[in-house]
Amino acid sequence: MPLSRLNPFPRAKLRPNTPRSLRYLTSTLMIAGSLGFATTAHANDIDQLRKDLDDARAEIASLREMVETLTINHTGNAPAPEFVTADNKDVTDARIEELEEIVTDHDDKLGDRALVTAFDAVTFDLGGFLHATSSIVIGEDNTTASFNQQVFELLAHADLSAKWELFIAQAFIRNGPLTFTDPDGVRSPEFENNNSPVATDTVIAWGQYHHNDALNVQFGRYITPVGIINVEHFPASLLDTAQPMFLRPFSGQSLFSNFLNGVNVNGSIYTGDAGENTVEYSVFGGFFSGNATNPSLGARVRYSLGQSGLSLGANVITGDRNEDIDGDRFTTVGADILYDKGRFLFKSEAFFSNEPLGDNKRAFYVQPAFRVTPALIGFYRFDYFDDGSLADPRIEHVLGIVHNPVANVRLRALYRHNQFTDSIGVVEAATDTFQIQTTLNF
Amino acid sequence: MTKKFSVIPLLCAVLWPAIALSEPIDDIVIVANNATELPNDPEAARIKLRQMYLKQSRAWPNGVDTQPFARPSESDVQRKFEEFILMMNEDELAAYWLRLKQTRGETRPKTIGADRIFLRQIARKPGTFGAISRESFDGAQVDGAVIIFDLDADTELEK
Repeated sequence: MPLSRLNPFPRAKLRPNTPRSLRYLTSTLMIAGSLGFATTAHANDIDQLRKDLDDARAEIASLREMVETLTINHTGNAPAPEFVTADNKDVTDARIEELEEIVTDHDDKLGDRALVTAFDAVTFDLGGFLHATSSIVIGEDNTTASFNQQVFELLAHADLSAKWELFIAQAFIRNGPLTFTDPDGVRSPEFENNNSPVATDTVIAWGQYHHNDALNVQFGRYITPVGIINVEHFPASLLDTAQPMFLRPFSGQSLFSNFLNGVNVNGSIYTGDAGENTVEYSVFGGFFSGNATNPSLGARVRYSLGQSGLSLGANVITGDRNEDIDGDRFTTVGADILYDKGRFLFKSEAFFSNEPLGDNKRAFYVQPAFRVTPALIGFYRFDYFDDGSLADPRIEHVLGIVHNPVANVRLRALYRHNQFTDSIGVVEAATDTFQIQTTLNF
Repeated sequence: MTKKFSVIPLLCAVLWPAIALSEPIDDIVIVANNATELPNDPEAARIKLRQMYLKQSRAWPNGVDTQPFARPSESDVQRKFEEFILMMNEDELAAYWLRLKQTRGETRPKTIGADRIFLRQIARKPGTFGAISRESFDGAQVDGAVIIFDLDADTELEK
């Protein structure tokens, strides 16, 4: 039989999981036990040994308690040991809970799906919107109705570095254009072809170098930075997605081109004692897609007065109407005013174009709006456009209610009244249009 | 019969908005990475914070690129930040970000919920800033994140 079997305190059993202090105590007990049998020991030594024995027993009892506590905690249902105070346990629990919330939230969003990342960009954001319009048009001689417009547009933005970025808006448009079939083109409205093929348009595609707040250089295809509504442009931001008449048709150049391919230098400068006022400027040059050889040049400046909600703008743009006719130039000047504060939202723009070889054009609108609630806006727009031809100054009245049930959804109910006047200003015909518009953003 | 009793509810009705609006804001501070600086004038500082948060201005006065952080929209901290720094309500802000997304492709600042993670991000990245309760800031003691604006001390005029 191995000696270890005879040993009442075999080392192999004591070492692995026994605290060092317990081993010392055990040794002390062994020594004390052997000394206890010694008949020649001095009485004082025996007293001392008894005292040591009592201390050792107390220590063992204490260690047993600790081991029990640790064992119970390990199984997960017991009071915290003494070194975990009530305070820091609460803090720890709170942090763990917080982290679990974050992990759960991320897990909920991602699950086991793969993440899409950009090839070479610091950040990449993808979004867009779906816009639909249905209309009933009541003319003098005919009434027509259609689910006449559907636009799906993808927006993508990437930061290539702190200084370089790009932005793209790609549209897919299904449109049933409204035409008038009577000889004068004012009495018999008809939606031309509601099964027209889908048109695609790269609405925006620019890159930009950001030098500082006062200097950005944008290049590519951009929205012509003139006026208020042309800059806002997108259905999600507009009260009526049918822009004022001088901006129609989409991508056209009635007064000035809605879009340009070229360069736009822009920036913001802060003025006032506390930097509360803002001067924004754009100086641009580019080509209208329907006139690829003659550039348009222009500039805009806008001044915003602190947080009064008031902004004033001035614009000028010059270009060629027709690349096939030499000297068919236009110069358009305009001013705009925006007031957006509390419940009131007011926009107005006025433009005049000087065209030596063509007809001078004039256009303006006023659009007051009132926020009944933060999610419900009522508005009216008086829109006037004289394209210079004797028989065709046009007037449009729009009355609308806009409701945002959530921030990403915009619903509109609109009434539109168009007047067609003859050469001496007498109303020749009129149409009434009722529309429901829905814009969903993501 | 006198009309004296009718004055009391009238006074209450008149004074109630003032009482309701006098909500203390002394528990909210704006913290930023310690590589940043703001103008000394409180109003100029507030306007600069507003411009940077709304991504109208993309650099601190010392040239460091900005990176604002939002807090959860339902939190008291974020609501007070929007009210006293941005001076916009939630709907106005939502409309603003929508417009910015459509016209410039910009997104709203990233939202960080947990205070300690928020402070660690601030401490780690130059140009970052956002709002937090003073109690959370004092309790966390994260090096590298400093108070740059005190809503209580620096927005006396607004109160």
